[in-house]
Amino acid sequence: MKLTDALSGVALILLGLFMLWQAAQFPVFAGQPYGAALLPRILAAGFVIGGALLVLRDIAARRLAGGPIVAFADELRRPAGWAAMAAVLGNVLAQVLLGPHLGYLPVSVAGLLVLFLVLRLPLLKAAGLAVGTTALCWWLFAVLLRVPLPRGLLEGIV
Amino acid sequence: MTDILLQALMLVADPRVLITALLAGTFGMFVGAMPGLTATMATALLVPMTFFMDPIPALAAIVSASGMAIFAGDIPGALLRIPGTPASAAYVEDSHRLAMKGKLNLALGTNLLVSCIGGLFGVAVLIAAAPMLAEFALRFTSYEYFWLAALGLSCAIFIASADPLKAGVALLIGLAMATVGLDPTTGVPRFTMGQVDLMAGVEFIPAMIGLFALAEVMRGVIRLNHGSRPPAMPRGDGALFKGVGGVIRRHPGNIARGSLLGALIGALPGAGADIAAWMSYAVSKRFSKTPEAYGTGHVEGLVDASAANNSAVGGAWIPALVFGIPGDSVTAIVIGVLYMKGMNPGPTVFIQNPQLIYAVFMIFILTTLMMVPLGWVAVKAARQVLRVPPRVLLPVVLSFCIVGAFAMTNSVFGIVVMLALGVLGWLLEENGFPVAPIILGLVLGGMFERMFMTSMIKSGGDLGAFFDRPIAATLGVAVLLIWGLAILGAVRRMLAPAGRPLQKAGHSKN
Repeated sequence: MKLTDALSGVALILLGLFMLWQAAQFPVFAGQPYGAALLPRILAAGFVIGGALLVLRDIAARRLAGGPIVAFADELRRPAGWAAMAAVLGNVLAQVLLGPHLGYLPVSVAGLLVLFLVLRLPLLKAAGLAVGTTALCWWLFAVLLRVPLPRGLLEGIV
Repeated sequence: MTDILLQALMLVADPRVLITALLAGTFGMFVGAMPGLTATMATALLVPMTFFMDPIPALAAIVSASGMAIFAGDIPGALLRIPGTPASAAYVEDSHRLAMKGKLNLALGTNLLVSCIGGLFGVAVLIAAAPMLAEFALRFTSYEYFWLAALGLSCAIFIASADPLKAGVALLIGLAMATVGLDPTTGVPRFTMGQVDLMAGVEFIPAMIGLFALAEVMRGVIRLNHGSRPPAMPRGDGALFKGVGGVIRRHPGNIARGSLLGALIGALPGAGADIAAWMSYAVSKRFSKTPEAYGTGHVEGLVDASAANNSAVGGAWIPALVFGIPGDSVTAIVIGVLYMKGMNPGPTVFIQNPQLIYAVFMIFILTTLMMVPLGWVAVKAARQVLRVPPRVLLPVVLSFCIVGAFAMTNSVFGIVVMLALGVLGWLLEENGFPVAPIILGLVLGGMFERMFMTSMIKSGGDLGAFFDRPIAATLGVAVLLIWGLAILGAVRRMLAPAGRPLQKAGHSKN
């Protein structure tokens, strides 16, 4: 998803202003003139200046060339592109939201199955790969490296 | 002296030591090659096992695993554009593009052999100049460290100069993320939005997985479903070391410079292989005859940075052995193991247990040489990844990213960081902002602020104090010159005839 530099610049200016607003609320300690707000303020100023330069540069360029403010890459003009991206982000979100309750194993198998199917793999192959990949990750991380991946529903079983 | 060397040799020649080094090296290779798992993690995971070992096998395991992990980080970087460790992130663009040009073996072969040479150089420095260098490093105060961090951050200008303004903004984003969490001087929570997990700041490993790996997976699946296959990587390009000899012969100066810089930066407490790789890549580009080729699949920067990050591994042991001060996070763990084994690090260890110190040096040499055959096997095995079709590979990579991010925090918070940074990285790259400076800002931001605030408080706000000491003044002038020249160049470009700068603006994509 391509934005114009002017739009990116405005977003950066807003980020800088947000940082300045937040930094103004950091407590000041008596006798310590340089505190928690110093570097965030310097960085915020950098965002505002950098954003402004991007806006100015883009306006100057656009005056000559023209062009849309937001443009989508070819790949994202079709629903299939969005579906693939949603499946990837959905996999990650599912582990965040459902993983701790249901456990890593079922969420991973289900998520990967959906992703493989969205990428147009045949059902049987997709199911085999989803189970195999999950098992491999579990064995490497939870068994070999002792990473406490959430057990969820399978607590006491695996 | 001969007696001591013989005793040391006897200690190292024990088959148990050699087998331990080999097994730990294989483990280090595996950990380093996994996106999200670092050399520090490989070392930390070995510590419980070292409880049951004698001192020499224990140290052999740690030295072997950490060195191999630093090299192995280059493998997923070249294959998938996903750096395995932050030390590999500096030159991931070059190594991946070399692979895309059908020169995967050249990229990884160069990484491997130059890492080995750099590693040996680091050991040589450790053996020859440890006490002297340690004393030099101890003279560094907050002023010198501040300028060193500033110099490291300035590398962003050289590394991503296609659009310096966007590179600068990306660096600011990294620095801003480094300010999240408890303030280092007052302990005030900043930008945490009430989230306890954010108190400790943004973990840079999940951030790196998001910025590089998740963003790459997103780009890959979108392209796949559009019908356009992601650009395929050519497979067979001969033996692993074919052409590497030529590269080494053409760039002996780069290897020497990278190794020296790596050993020096490694010897500074708190700095390490990550900063060494970034700085030597930037120095390489600055003094190259073809700086425009960097980032497009050019081998020269790879040579400098590969030598530097492995040389820094040896360098980091200098303050650890001589003073018991960790040079980086790996040696911080090593110091604990040394104490546990009764080898209290400090000047006295050289007098009381010289045979143990020489045995450590020998282990260093042995494991560095062992890196070549082990690395060869690892690269051969990793190449099989190329046989896997992208629609199978990308979800598998995603799966590893998720568990890798989880493993850094042992909670889903790591995955949240990865997700947020993945989406941000994807958006930024789509719009021509380089993501590497974000990692640089995130890695160096903490040290930069801590040293800046300490110096400001010490000097009562007097900026002149930043130039009072000779080393600080030298580093400070270098930083100001770099930024001054960069700003001058940018102003000149803006004032230049209209055509040139305007073509770069708008929807530029580097």
